[in-house]
Amino acid sequence: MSATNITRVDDELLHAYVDGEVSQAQRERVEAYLTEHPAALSRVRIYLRHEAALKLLYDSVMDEPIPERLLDTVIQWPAQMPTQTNEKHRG
Amino acid sequence: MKLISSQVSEEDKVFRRALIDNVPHLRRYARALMRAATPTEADDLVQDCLVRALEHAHSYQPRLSMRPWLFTILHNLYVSDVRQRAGRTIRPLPTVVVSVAPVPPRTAEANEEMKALSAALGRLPEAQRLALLLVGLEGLTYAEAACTLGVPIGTVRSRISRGRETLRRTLGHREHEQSERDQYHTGR
Repeated sequence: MSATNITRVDDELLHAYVDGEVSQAQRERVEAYLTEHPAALSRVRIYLRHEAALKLLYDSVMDEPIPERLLDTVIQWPAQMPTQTNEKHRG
Repeated sequence: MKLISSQVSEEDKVFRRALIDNVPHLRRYARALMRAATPTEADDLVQDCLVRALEHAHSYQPRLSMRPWLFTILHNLYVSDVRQRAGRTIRPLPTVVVSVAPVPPRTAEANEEMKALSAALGRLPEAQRLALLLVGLEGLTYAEAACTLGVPIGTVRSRISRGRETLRRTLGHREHEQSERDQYHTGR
């Protein structure tokens, strides 16, 4: 291969690139590597595609209204005031 | 919108509002985590998580992002729940779950791909699946995911790398089509 001058990019770095967990220098290195290695580029595309599909699969939950019982759990939880002695909640 | 009682201190109110803001994320993660469960069962886990968070509000450090803290609680509850159930009965393996929530219309092909992905994800080793969900679905950083799962960052890296690669291989027949379609992008 012609790309012997490009530092080898290992698998974990490729995944870190997909997740945006790389420095600017690493990003440039990975991108240089990808332009020379179509197979690796194809893999990155598939990873990103799966990532997008995963989000699509579960994202609808984010738009649902929060169920009442979950809201109530948080809202009706007794006040946490260690200094209060005459709380109504205490029996 | 319901109001938090005025008896609650300002600090407590801020905490509770942040908690509520995080509920959609917790619900999404719980649903992805418990693929085999009904949405109600996933919400049960979220509710337990909220109760635990409220009970342990004092141990929350506001300087840190709340989401990883909540995911840690949810994750611990999930793990202990799974262990408890495993001790009692043997649950049949989950079949493919089709989302019950209305979703925008998609092509049959895309639906097919998502079903295949969901099934492949369900067959991944649990540790890899959790890492992928936290980072891929919930957008946690590697450091946050490591903190949530109680493992070193290097472990998160390798789990992500192995999990994703397994997904790619499992769904390999698509890879071929995809790479053919992508060829014009790669230049020469």
